Amino acid sequence: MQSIEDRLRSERPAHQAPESLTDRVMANLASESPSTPHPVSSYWPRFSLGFATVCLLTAVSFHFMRQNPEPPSSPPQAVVAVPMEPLHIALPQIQAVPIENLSMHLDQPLERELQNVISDTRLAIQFVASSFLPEK
Amino acid sequence: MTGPPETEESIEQLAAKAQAGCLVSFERIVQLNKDRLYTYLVQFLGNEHDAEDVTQEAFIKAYRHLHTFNGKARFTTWLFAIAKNTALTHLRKRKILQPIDEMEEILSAPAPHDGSEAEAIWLQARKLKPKFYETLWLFYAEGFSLKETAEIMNTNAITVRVNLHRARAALAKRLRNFEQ
Repeated sequence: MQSIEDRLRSERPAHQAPESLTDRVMANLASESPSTPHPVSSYWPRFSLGFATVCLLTAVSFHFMRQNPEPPSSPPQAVVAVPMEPLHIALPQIQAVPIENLSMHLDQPLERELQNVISDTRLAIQFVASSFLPEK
Repeated sequence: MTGPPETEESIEQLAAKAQAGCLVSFERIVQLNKDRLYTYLVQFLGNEHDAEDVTQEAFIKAYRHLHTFNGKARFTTWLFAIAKNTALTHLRKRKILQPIDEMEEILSAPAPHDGSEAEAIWLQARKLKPKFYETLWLFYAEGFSLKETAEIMNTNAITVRVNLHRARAALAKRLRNFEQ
């Protein structure tokens, strides 16, 4: 493995860059200013100035609002209770009705179903008895 | 603008002067690094014409963004990272790279070479996975550290270490088969 590392270091292929490369690079750079941090865009100073102005105006207006408090509210007025006349409304007279009367005319399906089941069972028992029990 | 550097200066010193506006120092940086960067881009792009264009573009881009170099990494590492990004942008523009899938097709294209035996191991290395080839190139051919290689490849040092290990093993196997 050591020989491979040695060979990789020693047998490195080398290429010569064209001689004119340096001149071309420098010709391109000649027209440029030296590398400096990019100037800050004019947008930010304007934004900062505007923001500062708004903050200042807000602070000043808040200050003046505190100096000129709201006018005192009007003194509390006494509440005078006025006696009201009683209302006379004719309400309908409702009489009490027994609860059984309310459900008297209602259909009762559960009760009918139970009666049917009992009737069917009775018929079935009679059928079984007549079919299988010995006659006297 | 200051005058040309009188003594041999390190690349970092030249970069500092160039940051201060010394165009001559930047010219010296170009002179010192153009062959190295060009060779890397020939490996990366697979042809000399594109490599020449991208090398020029990378230097121009580096000059324009000199103010972003903060000295945390070596200047050469920073320059190579710019070169790689410029190469990727170049490939995207040419629509060679459909998905940016680790330059699979790009790096598999044979690089121009003179057919000498000295390049045999690198010719075999080129047949490896592109990321393995690039890792080998940056680490062994360019001499970058694990961390610097990771910075250029936009990954982490552990991944580079793993890729190096796998690349060496794959290359050894390929060389054994080649020599038999």
